[in-house]
Amino acid sequence: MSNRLISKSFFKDIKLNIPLVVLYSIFLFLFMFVSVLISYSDYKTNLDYMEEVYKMDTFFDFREGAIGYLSAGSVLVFIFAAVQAFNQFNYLHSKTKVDFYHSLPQSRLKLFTTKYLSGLLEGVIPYAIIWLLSFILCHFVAPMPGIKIDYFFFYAFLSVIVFYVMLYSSCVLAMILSGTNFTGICMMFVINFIFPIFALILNGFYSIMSYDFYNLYESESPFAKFVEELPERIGFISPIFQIFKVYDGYFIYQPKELVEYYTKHSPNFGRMENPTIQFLPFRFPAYVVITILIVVVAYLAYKHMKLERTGEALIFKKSESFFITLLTICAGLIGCLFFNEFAGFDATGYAYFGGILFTFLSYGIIQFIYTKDIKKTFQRKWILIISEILVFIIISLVWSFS
Amino acid sequence: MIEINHVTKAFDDVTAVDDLSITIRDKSVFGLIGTNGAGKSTLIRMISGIYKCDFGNIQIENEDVFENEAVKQNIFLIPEEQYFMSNYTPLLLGKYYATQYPNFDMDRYLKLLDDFGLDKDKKIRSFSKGMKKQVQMLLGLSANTKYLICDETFDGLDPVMRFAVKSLIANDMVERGLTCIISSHNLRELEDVCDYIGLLHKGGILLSEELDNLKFNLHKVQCVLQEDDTLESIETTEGIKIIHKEARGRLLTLTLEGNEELVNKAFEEKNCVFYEIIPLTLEEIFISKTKEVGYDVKSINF
Repeated sequence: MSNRLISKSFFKDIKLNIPLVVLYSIFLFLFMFVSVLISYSDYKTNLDYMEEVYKMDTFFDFREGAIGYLSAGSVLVFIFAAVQAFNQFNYLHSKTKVDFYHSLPQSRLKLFTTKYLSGLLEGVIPYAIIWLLSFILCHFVAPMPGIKIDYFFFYAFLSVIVFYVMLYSSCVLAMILSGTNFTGICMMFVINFIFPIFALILNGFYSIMSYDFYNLYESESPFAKFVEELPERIGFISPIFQIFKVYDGYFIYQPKELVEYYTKHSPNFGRMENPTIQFLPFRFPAYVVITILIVVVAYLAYKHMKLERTGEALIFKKSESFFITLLTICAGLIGCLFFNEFAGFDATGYAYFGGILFTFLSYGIIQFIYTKDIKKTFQRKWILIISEILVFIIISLVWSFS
Repeated sequence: MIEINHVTKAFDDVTAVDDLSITIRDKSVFGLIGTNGAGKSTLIRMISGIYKCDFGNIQIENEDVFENEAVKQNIFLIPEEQYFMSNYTPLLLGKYYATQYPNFDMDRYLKLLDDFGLDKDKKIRSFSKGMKKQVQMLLGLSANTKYLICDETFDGLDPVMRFAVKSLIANDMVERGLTCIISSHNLRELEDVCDYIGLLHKGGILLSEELDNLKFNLHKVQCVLQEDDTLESIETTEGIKIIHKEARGRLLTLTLEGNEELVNKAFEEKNCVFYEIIPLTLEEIFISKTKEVGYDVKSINF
């Protein structure tokens, strides 16, 4: 028996995805390499820009926009993570394809690693190659004296790779937990956005707990502070949350020369508040650990999944109640904040009403989508009851600390 | 040898396979038949290692099938609905399977494609349903596995191709000891090729024995009896069991279980007006056996 972790058909499986990878590479090439080329030619021919080009901050902005973390290329990479997870594991949602792959003489471990690595490499390698070409173009072709290669910029590149792997892994988990393509896509949203939604809810609760009518946001109880800081402290578990945070500008890399330049020329410039060069390296180990955990969970789910449930909404029947309850509670809390926003901070009654109403409505909608039968909408009443009770308790807790 | 030991498989509230035990001998053709929803496809998927048994086990040469690469290298499944990778040709598919099955004979595969008139470089998605089944069958035979499982494979093939495939299977059985498991609703077809029959109903096994023995012990008798109580005396004869009876006027058609000699003796002794023992087809055996357990089309208005 072969002890290899990867199937012998690994390269054949990669070949199958060549059209998709080529399309992805073309777009990356256009968004990164070609955009740098066009911008340089524009700068070169337009003398009005020449003086501007030679300024260091312009170059850093340009570089960030073309091949940095905030570039269109990196957005494409993150989207491709979801596309690849869907592409590699959507076979699990078709009985015909399941019969084909799982009747072959390979273990589930081998199948999983082959599919997982195939999707991983197909996303990372084209990005790495095109990024490198763009980086060379940016730094060696550009007519900018005094610009030296800033090695810390590689952290932006590394961040995109790491976030791709994190996102891809979480989307793979979503596809494995689901039994149909539709629920697979929904699960991708649930798994990736549940934490940012949770952070938004906590932010809303923090506003309520710390609101003082006369001195806005003056009072901060320890519990309110805890609620405010919680998303930041545990946010490394969520790739989407991290991606959004970096886009917010909290973790953008600031090279030392740029920091000095801005200090000298624009002392009141906002970005100077967070020169967080030390932040990115510190978080990488956490990202790697979280990714490994996600992959392990995904593999365990893959190993123990019952293929006879292909075509059902969720592969693990017992997880249905968990996810429905989670989504229902989130919807209820959002409802509470929504009504509170319009009625005013001291409108406790509206908050309760909004929470209970949104819990009820979201439960009904989710159950209806799940069962596709209006008569079965209230089949699992206990989920609704538990969700309503939990929403009520949470709202009460939040208002008791306000 | 494939040993299916007290296997049970349930899907939510439905028990698809219920405490099933069968032994499939090597170098034979085992016909798996059953009523609709009997659990044939579920059983086939468990034998192929796709599904895991809830209880019991399936062993091939004393090794569990599930998650066992070495054992699965000796099994080739031709499912009822095939999946082919997009843009693949028969040649590419052969190369793909060659990476999976160590004994895959590419030369034989290419020769068979040629013999069957299938273009190896044409995209499979342009093939008809029957041609796709042919490709699957040729892949299965070329994989040189010890066990070939066909889930309603013959149903899409024309009579000429069916004959050709049966010949190939018979040849492989003789030359390399192939064991074939065929699931089909076309009992007429199975009757020609199978050595053993397994009849499933509602997840359980109604019978599993050699086809010749089965026919030896089941008979259809058309008779006209002298007196009305003759039938009762035949019913009480030791070693004979009347499974089904149908009367059209005085002509009785009986399905009997018992030794042929005993049946002959019973009718001769009763001095019937007329009796004739007619061989039962597999279809008739199927209907009579399932009728025994209450599987019947009742009160249909024509």
